[in-house]
Amino acid sequence: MKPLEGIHILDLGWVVAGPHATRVLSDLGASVIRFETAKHPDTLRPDMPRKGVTDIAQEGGWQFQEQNRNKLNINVNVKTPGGRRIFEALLKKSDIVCCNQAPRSFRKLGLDYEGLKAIKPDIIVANASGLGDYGKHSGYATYGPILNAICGISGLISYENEASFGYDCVIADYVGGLSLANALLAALEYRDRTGEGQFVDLAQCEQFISCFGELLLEREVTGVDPLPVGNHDYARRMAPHNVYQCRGIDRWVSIACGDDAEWSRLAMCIGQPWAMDSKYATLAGRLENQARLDAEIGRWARSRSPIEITYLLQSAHVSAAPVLNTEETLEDMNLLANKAFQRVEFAPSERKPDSLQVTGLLTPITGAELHVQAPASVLGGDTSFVLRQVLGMADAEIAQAETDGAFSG
Amino acid sequence: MASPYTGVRVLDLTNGTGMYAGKFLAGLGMDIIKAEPVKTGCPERGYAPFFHGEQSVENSLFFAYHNTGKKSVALDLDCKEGRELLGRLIASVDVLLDSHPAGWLEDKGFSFNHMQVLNPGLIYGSLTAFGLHGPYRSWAASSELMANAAGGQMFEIGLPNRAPLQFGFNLVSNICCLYLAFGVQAALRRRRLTGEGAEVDISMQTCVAAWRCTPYGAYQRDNSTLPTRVGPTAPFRPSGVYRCSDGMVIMNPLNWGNMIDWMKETGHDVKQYDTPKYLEGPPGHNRNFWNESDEINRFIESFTVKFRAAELMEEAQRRKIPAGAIQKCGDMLTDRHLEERAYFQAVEHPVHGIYRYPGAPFKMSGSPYVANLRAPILGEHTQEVLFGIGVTPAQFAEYKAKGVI
Repeated sequence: MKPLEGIHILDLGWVVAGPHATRVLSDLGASVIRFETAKHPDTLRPDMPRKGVTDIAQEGGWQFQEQNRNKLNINVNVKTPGGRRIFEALLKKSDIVCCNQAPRSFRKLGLDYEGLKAIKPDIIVANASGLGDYGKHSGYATYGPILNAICGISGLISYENEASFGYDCVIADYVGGLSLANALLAALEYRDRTGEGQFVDLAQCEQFISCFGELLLEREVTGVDPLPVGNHDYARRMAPHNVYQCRGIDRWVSIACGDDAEWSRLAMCIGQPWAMDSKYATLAGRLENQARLDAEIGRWARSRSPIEITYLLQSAHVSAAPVLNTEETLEDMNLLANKAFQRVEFAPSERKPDSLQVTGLLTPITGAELHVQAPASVLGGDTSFVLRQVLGMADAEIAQAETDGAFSG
Repeated sequence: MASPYTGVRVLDLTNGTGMYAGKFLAGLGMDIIKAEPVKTGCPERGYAPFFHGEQSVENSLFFAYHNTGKKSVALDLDCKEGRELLGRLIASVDVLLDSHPAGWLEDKGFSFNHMQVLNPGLIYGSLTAFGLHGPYRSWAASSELMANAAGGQMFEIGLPNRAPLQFGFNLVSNICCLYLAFGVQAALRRRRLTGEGAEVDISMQTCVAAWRCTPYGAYQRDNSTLPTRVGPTAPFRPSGVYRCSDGMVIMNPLNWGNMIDWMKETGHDVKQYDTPKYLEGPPGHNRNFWNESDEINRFIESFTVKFRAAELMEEAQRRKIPAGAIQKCGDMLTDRHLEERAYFQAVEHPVHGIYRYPGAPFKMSGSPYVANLRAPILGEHTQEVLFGIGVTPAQFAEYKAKGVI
């Protein structure tokens, strides 16, 4: 049995954080119905479409596939009377309503917990906004990059003793999504024990800060703000701890030594006189001479390939790994063995490619073999199935819902 | 109000890589029992910096933060009696958490198969750099740096012609702990319904590889474009990192009209940018912002330098322009928004006193996350836990005399 079989989720989220939460839940067996409207399709749909795909409602590009495979998709506008009727009918059959909108948009969708609870008493409602459901800045517009700045990550990720260059990737969205998935499972456990639902107010920034909370505690205790460390160990527990340029163009290998014994094995592998210098024998000595140590290892690495170095060092049980680029990641034998990638197959057509690789099961659990059932649906692709098969609506009811605006906007 | 997982028992054998998982699950009400060596405690108790600048087994900030809400059992796992006690502990818990390299527990006599004999319903939650079963399972990885590198993320972070950059700060480890906590929760649900135990095998490399979406799409689509490091990479324009009088902001003035209005109100020379060429089209889709990205960013910065970063963020946000000041840890400790949400929690510890810790990662209305707990004193719960699994006072005294506990 799949771990989350039998759990029904209504997903009114968009882009990454919310859809990533429902994606990892659906990977483990939960059933997800994703709401989307033609007027405001998911921002990710047009991103990186397959060659020849121009109509964004037609399928959705790579990013959208990544976060929305295995989900049903209905083009129901919950802000209309007809759409609201459909939403409420589905609500009565669901365990979770999941969203990642700014608080004001969340309320405009009519998802207030007390209101939904009146219809489905044990419903679990969650909204993962950037800065939370209340508070001075809860109205802020926050994309991942903005959150990185506010949470302090942009200021911490840079080269040693250099100013921030504005690191802005979407990592905050994944952290928020995973946190949301955790909160939802905890709420489900609580509901199964007590019969009670609840509201989860998730501020993505608060989970993110918690993931490096040690630094906040350090600032609180010492009064000193941590600075960027480049690729060194922020806690100065390890040296060397860096990436080194190798033979070829933009090729790099990572090397770290957790203790003096690991360093002495590395020194043996390098086998050059400088590595035997006693000043490098202790952590204190290696930290004191870190710049020179990095330069020496760098010179040694420059004429070798990342793979050659990795195998040489790993055979002596020294921590090393190549810095993989995209192509190498897709072919890495350990990622492949761990089924880190799965294929979504499209219906046969003239378009090529007719399948795409997306990432696989991130939380492998006994009994949870993941099979990507289907690519993400086209916008509204499952509306008819959901209305007729899940809700048992007759033609006349569907027509009335349409008259009441259900499929507009 | 109760917690979701009251009564669920967890044996926590993690090192610094996986410690955040048990802390996180303690907040959800699980009973986390940490086993650590007698006298010295776990190695993380020796991690600097220390409260009051004084090294002692109770004073590590790293330890204090990553072990809140846990119990501590001091137990020598390298002697026969200690391993017998470990076996009895494993038999008594619902979940075992570990983040040592594959084989570490097996070397102590506890393979997953053996543990399943001791405890058929056991959930074994493992977090490692490369997973328990793949070809790199026995690779050395003293740092999370290796997963950063082999997960592919690192290749894209940094400036052109400079080295790829890690995340650092134990961040990747702690984020992967969220995947471990999620897997453990899901496995507990499955066990409740089927009675079966499970192995949860989190590979940091796999998780890191899943946080970078666009490159896979770009590569599969065009087969040739291997994205490399370009500094800030926000997928829209105008967007950038802008200097202010006292710091920097990341800002995306997609709605250009709002930006121009703001500039005009303050008397800033809007030059040629107040024209239909830049104002037409839906926000974020005007190609001119891509074509003239550098000039426009210089123009925006000529405005932002007049403000303090926090001031610029507030006013921009008021005008519906997404902006975030690049904050320092110290800024967050005094942030009025976080204060209003009572995010930081005072935690009292008998040795170091009261300090504010980052609090609940989310607010659950019915079963609140418990965020005001402290880390345990070494061996604080040895007696309580061992009596709980049937060790008698006489046996306890004998173990203690032998230095097993």
